[in-house]
Order: sequence, then structure tokens, then C-alpha cells
Amino acid sequence: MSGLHLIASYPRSGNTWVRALLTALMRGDGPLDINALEGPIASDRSFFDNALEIETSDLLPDEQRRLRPLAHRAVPPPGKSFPIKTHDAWLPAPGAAEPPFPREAVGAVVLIIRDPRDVAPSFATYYGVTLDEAIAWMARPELSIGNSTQGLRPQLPQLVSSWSAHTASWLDSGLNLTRVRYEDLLADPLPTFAAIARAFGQSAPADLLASAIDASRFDRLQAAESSEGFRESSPEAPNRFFGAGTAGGWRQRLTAAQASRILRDHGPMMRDLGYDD
Amino acid sequence: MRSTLSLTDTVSRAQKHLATEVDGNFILMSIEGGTYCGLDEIASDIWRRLARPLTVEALCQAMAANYRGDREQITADVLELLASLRDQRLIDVG
Amino acid sequence: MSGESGRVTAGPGGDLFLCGWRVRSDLVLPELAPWNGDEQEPDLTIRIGAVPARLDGALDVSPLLQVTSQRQARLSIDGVASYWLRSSHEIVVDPQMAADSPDIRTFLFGTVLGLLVHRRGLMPLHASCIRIGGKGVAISGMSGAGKSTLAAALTRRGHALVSDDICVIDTGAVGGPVVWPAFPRVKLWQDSLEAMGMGSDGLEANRFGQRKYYLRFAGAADFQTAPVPLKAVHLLRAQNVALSGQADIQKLSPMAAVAGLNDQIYRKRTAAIWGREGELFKAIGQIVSAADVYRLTRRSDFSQLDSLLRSIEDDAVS
Repeated sequence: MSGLHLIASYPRSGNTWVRALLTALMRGDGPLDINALEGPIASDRSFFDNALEIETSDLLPDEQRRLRPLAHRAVPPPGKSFPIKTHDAWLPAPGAAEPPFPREAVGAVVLIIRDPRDVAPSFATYYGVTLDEAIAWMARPELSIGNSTQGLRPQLPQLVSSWSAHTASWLDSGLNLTRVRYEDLLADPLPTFAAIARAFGQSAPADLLASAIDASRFDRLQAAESSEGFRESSPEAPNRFFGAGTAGGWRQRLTAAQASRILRDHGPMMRDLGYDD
Repeated sequence: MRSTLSLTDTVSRAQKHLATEVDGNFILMSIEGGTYCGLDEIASDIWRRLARPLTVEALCQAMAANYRGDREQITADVLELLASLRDQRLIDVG
Repeated sequence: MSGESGRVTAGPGGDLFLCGWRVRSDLVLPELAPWNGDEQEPDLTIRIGAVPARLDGALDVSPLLQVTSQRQARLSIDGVASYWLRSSHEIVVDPQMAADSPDIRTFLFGTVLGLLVHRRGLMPLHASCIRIGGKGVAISGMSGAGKSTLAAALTRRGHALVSDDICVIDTGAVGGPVVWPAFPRVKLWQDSLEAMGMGSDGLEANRFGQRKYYLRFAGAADFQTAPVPLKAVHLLRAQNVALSGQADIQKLSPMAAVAGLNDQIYRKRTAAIWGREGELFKAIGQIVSAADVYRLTRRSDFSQLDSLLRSIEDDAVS
């Protein structure tokens, strides 16, 4: 299968977990080194510096957003490569004429979706904001990450948008897309992970899938993070990247008002996805 | 799956590779695979001999003439190195 | 604007020094030291003039950059300038804003300089370089790794800046690889300036509206222009958190050093199109044979900066 393979998700929705699963599947047996996960990150500045032959740090934010999709056209499409992680919405960012990847370059997308009520507490921890702030951010259509006017970030700015708009943008993109609910991957990992692998053109026997699932169990990822550290964790929550990896934890973490605010912000999309209990 | 080379195969350096020397030992890079390969002193000697195509047998003979050791062991070591270089697309086998 | 055949005469300040070349420029280049070398014809002329929209036989390396197999190049930044690397001795600049704007020099001393270095057969490493005890110490890494910040911090400890962002290495020099000094200026973001207790008042912005600034070290006239033997290269990366069992400074094996340096060749895609991959890879081997190469990990917030700086100094004189 040619073209870019994307693991798309809203932040804190299991993207890194899926990278861990796919890394474990690729490497085979043995414990997983969480600091050597496979897979590029779509907004990685070094990719664009290399593709554009310019320091993107010398470009203004609008110029960076305009050039992002064009950079993918400048470098030859990868033959066989590990799927790329992205938190971008499938929307043209301010200053850009098209979504962050050229449509014709995208081969396959796996969209990971998680109940926004479980996303919110994780989001708050990762970004070092209060739960109410996190909930407000997740309702903002213009929400963008990787921005800083004071200094340089290792990622280019990414238009993430609100949880609903992000999810809708991918579901309505018309791309070759496989939709995966985080909750299904937790509850029924084998067939769900098999579907992810298949979407990326990999057919693996059940025992290999099962051992990758075992190597990527949340208690293992958490234990590895607390003993070794995790380089992808945020400065706001150092070495607290991997949470409990549960579904429905929001019932303990959110107040009734917070839960109903999320339902008010995202009700139609949540109902479509079965998050209306 | 790694198949072994035969003594009658002709081997030579691949067209597409990069090579450099650090303190007399070669470090190679496969342009296609993007992988690096560091050669020790003896492997570097073999790499120098691969500048022109030659048969595996001739290579093993030359190595046996230059290094002490059991002829069969030398042949086995040369074959192993060549298989590894071939798998990294650093040599052509014809 | 002067015509294509217009002759550039030495400006009021006279000719300038850049990487060992005598430079004659239409553009005002305040960061460059004056030329104090021999009476010789300029090695490089920078003219203000028209730049063709399309170079003959050009290949589009990126939406911003055309190159030709004759090793010409055309870089275009909308609203800033177009640049034409016409030969090893001539760069034509067509400004789209005031010719003395720093924005124009940002790209001139970026991609355009990097391609000129390739064209002149030298190695541009993505690194800043500091002279410590008479030896060159390069700090290499991608944008955001913290090269310029570390380099600026080292100048505050009494060491001289040799170059920022592009470290021009001649591996063919007798006695081993040397670094050619460029100019005494670094580019720093607001947060780095603040981390060093400096403000941005009075500094030129790298781009109009951007909080990244030119920090020039006083006395371009005192800039030492002699090539500096390369002693060490630090491959720098920033990391949010400490990982167990990982030293901040780790000396690399020859293979890891070669791989690490190969990733830091500046403007590598054009260099490959120009057929330089083989010679650059050989040059890397010469660098690794002559200099120590380290993996240097810093914390994203620049905590523990002082201990890193001391380690760099210790390794430079060991």
C-alpha cells in the first residue's frame, strides 16, 4: 500500500499507545523500549527543514502553515514506512490552502477516537491546565498546539480544533480511513488491533498480535515510564505520560457540571459515536 | 531469510553506497536502506579487496594467505561477512 | 537596481570577511568583519539585481528553492527577497523590502550561504562553533536543539564565537580539519535571551514581527579570522525529562559519530543533487578521525546549563 500512513487522533486519545502496539508488533517478542518507539511525528520540525531546505524557525507562522502540505510534495513519497502520528485536524490551518497533508499523498488513515470526557482529565494533566480550562480548550474550533512566540518548539504549529470538529474533519475527509474507538481497543484488543494492522497493510497471525498487545499493556508502559522516564512526556507532567489507560474514568474525575458541559459542547458527535451513556 | 553465498559467486562493491574511513577502518552506509555498517580491521581489508569484482573463492584464498588461522574458519567468516554486506545491499553478488 | 553587468565597488566600509573569502557587497552586511587580508580580487560579490523567475534547467528542490546541475540555485521568500547563487563568486539578491532589513540577511546567511559552501567544495555542518583554548568546538543539532543558546552562553564565559548555525569545515587542510570563522553574531529567541538575563531591547528581529533576534557581539573589527582546528563536535538534543542511565555527555563510537554527523550536513538534499554525497561522507570520516564527537543532551528548560558548559570546556582542553 503506497502513500502516507497516518495514525490520526485528538491529543491524549491513544495515539502513542497504538504506536507502541505497532512497534511491538514490528520488533517481535521481548519487552518494549518506550524511548525507542517507531514512527515519525507529522509536525516534526526537522522533517520540514529537510524537505524545504530552509530553517522553518526563520519562517513566520503563516508561512509555516502554508508550506506544510507543500513540503510533502517536495520529497519523494515513502515506500514502506512506519505510520506517522498526527494530532492535526483535516482542515486548512490559517494561512494554508489545504489540510496539512496533500490528499493525493495519503494512503491510509487510522483514526483513534476516545470519549472526550476521558480525554479531558488526561489533557489537563499533559498540558498543565485545570480541568475546566482543558474542557474549554477542547471546545475551541481554533485550538492549535505547538505555538510559541517566545521560543522555538520542536513541532510546527498544528491546528487541532475542537474535539467535535477534529473528529468530524477526519470522518468526513473522504480518505481511506479506518475508525477505531479507544474503548474498543481496550475492551476487545485482538480484533481491534488486527483491524489497525490490516488498515496499514499488515496481516499478522493472532499470536504475534497478542504478544504485541501484552507488551504494550498500560501497566507495563507506566512501569517503564516510572523507572526509566519517557522522553515524549511533557514538561508540565514529566514522566506522567501514560495514564491508567481506562475507559469511563471520567465518572470519578469530572463533576456533574463538567460532564454535562462536555456533553453540551460535543453532544451530536458523542451520540454518533456511542458516548452518550 | 539469509541464504549463503557459494564459492563460485562473484562479489563486488554495490554501486549505491557511501564509504568513509576512520582510523583505517571503514564505515559504510547503504543509501537505499539508510543503515550504517562499521567494519573492523580484517573486514576493512576485505572491503579494500572488493574494489574490483572477484570470486568468493579467490577472496578466501587471499585472506588465508594473509592471516593465520584455520582455512575453513576463514572461509566461514568471509562468507558470513559477505552475506551480511549483501543483506545490507553494500555488495553485489553475481 | 544595478543591471546584471553592473560592477559592485567596495562600499564605504570597504570589503568584508566571510569564511576566509574577501567579500564585496551592495547589501550592507553589518555583522561581517572588515577584510584585513591581502590585496586580492574579491572571492565573492554580492550584488543587488534582477533574479530570473526560473533558472535554465532548474529542478524544484522545494517550493522555495530551484537548483540546476551546474550548481546554480535560486531561493525565493515571498515579501523578503529572491536570491540567485550564480557562481562560486557571485550572489545576486533582489530585495522585496528595504535592502537593509535583517530579514534579507536571515536567508542570505542561511540557505544561500550553505549552498555557496557546498559549491565551493567545503563541508557546511549544521552547527555553531566556539573557540575554546585555541581549538574549535562545534555544537551541532537541528533548529531548537539549543546550538545558539549554548554558543552565546559560552561567549559569556570568555570564549569567542567562530560561527552560528553553519559551521564551515575544510577537511582538506594540512594538519586536519579546520573551521573557517564566519561572523560574530548569533540568533536567539526571546526565551533564550531571558534565560541568560538579557532582554531584546534594541536588537534587530530575525524577521519582522518575530521574537527571534540578532545578538551581535561587539567589535566585528576584532573578530579573529584565522581558521581554527576542529577539536570536538557535540551533537546536541533537547529533552523534556531526564532518562535513567543516560549521561548528559556521552562520547560516541566512530560509527555513531559518522551517523550523527551525516544527519547534520546543512542543506543535504541539494548537496545530494549536486553529487556531493560521496565526498561529504569521506569528509565526515576525516572529521571523526581528528575530532572527538559527543552526544550532548540538555533539558528543554536549560536547567543545569552551567554544568553542561563546564563539561564542554573540560572536553575541549582534555
